[in-house]
Amino acid sequence: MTETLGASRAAIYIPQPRPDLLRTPGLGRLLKWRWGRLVFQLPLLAVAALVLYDGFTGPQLAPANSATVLVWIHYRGLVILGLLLVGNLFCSACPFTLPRTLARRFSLAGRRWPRRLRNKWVSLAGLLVFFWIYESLDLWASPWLTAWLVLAYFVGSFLLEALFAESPFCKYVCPLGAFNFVQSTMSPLQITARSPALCLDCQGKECVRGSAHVPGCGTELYAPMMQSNLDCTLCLDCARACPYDNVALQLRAPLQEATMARWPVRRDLSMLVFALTFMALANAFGMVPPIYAVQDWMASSLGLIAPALQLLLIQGTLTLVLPGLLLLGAAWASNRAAGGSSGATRQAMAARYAPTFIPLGLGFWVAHYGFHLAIGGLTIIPVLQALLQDHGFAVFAGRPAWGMGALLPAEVIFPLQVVAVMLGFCAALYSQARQALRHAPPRPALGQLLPWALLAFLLTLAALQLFNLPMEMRGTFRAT
Amino acid sequence: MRPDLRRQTRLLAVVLALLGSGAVAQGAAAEGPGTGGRAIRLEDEPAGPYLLRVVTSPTPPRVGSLFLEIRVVSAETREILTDVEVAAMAIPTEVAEPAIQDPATHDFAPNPVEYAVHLPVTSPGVWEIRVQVRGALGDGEVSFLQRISSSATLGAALSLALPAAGIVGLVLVFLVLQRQQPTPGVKD
Repeated sequence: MTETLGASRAAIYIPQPRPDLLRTPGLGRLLKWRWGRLVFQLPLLAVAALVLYDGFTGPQLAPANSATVLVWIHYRGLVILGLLLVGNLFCSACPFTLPRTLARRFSLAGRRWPRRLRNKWVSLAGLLVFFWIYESLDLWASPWLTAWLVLAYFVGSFLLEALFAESPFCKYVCPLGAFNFVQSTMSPLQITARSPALCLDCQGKECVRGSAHVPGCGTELYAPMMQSNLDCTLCLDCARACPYDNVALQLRAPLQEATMARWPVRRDLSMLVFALTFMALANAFGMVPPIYAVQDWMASSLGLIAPALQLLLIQGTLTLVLPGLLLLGAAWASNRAAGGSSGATRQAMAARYAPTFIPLGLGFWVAHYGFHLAIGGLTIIPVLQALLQDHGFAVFAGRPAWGMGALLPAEVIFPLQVVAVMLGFCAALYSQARQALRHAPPRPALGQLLPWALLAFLLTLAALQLFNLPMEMRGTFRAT
Repeated sequence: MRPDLRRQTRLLAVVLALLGSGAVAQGAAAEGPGTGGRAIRLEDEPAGPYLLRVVTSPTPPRVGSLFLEIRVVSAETREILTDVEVAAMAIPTEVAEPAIQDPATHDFAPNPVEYAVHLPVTSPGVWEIRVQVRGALGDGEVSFLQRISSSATLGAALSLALPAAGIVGLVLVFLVLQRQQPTPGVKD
């Protein structure tokens, strides 16, 4: 952080003047209010409490329990739409950070998160474990396990905040946070400094260090140097702490980050953003019929019978090994096609093009999670009616309307999925072309970007084939 | 940004936007399934001396794929019954096709105390689903209407053509950009 704050004038990011949400009458004041974050956190804390209560004590049938319906239908669908249309809204109102505020009181005098773990490998491993547990335990079908997952989140956040001084849980561990950070690089809002010059003369750096009443940035981002939403939880503590009211929440051009000139040349970051696109496919693959064939083949050919091990192998291959090899291969091919004229290393080439896959992955996530929200968004109404009825509030609830479910007619959902996938593909190609043209004239630029474009093509093809298949939701029926 | 780079990227943006809108049109014309998990259709529904819970999956049910999970409870004692005979029937309401009937068993029900049955419905549209129970307490029957979605999908050819069009468009744009490049060595 010391190096960051002591950065030269050249490192200061000067954004284009654009509308600032924090200057919006009413809303801006609410967002910057000392308790502004709490206003958004408390409703989500109430939802988390409901998930815990109903998950542990309610009916253990997924479509009849608010734990499974709220987490696997509403949370996922709304988070991805929020990221696409606004920004990192979930991290901004994350209820898991409320107990950790209490945990900070027990913080052991500024102990720092180990240097060796200050990267994205931990969250990448966390994402793999998360998706593996999700698939192997059929989390979506178990209210009880879903409630345990939420409880584990509260405990994990609390413990890490109690042991370490900064917010390592958000920045280095939380798989949901890693997912949100990466997807939020496509969001239309970003924290910036209104007048970067003012920040150069600022002595206190309250936006990072905090003031007497407001904590500074938990993930240690310095507002005038921010060119990316990565690691930003949108908590707005920086805006509240700044004594000069110099922090803005600006609108920005779509795809600004995917096309931006310099992403950090870091293996962990390139791998995380690239692997998340594959995770979108792997997560959907776990729900469609061909996975049975793969599992059968593993049992007969490899003698691997335990479903949990089969799924670990499938997930590990699809979300780590395959993307790792393809990232290396595409970087090599891209460098070779550029004929060495690019002057970039393979690692730099990977760092340049890996972020262009974020819009592609976002399209896949929107198609998958948007589908579940569209097909089951209204299920929460009969679920809550039944919950109230079970607790003696039948007068207010009425008879549960179990016929309710879909937010959209079934026939329009698949076309919308195709649109989401194709728009993500077009955005990825556009980002790749912008990146290539930034570094070379058209002919060598085309050679440089073709390996990446072909990879995007193959992933899109796989996604369209995957969404063509019925989502059987493995575990719904017991094999005979 | 350099003016030539700006011009090139604007051209790219236009082409890709056109491709994107093409995909929108194609996508809107396509029919697709989109399926998901379970949906509760009936809960504690009286059927003679029984109360039934009926859960359908996937959501929405598609041609060839409608599963029912049925829990039978005694209306008097609220005890879950596992020794009754359960049968399900699907009757098309929009087309003249024969009804499909099958017994529900414990064999592949996720919850062993419940009954499950697969009804291979043959056409899209609204079907009447009847569930009949026979046991020591007597007979009971419930029914509900269920919409079945078409199993039509995007199709392999279109799935290939859409992203392929993107790649072809990209190469064409770069060829145009290449032609617009000033020839090296030519001075005004």
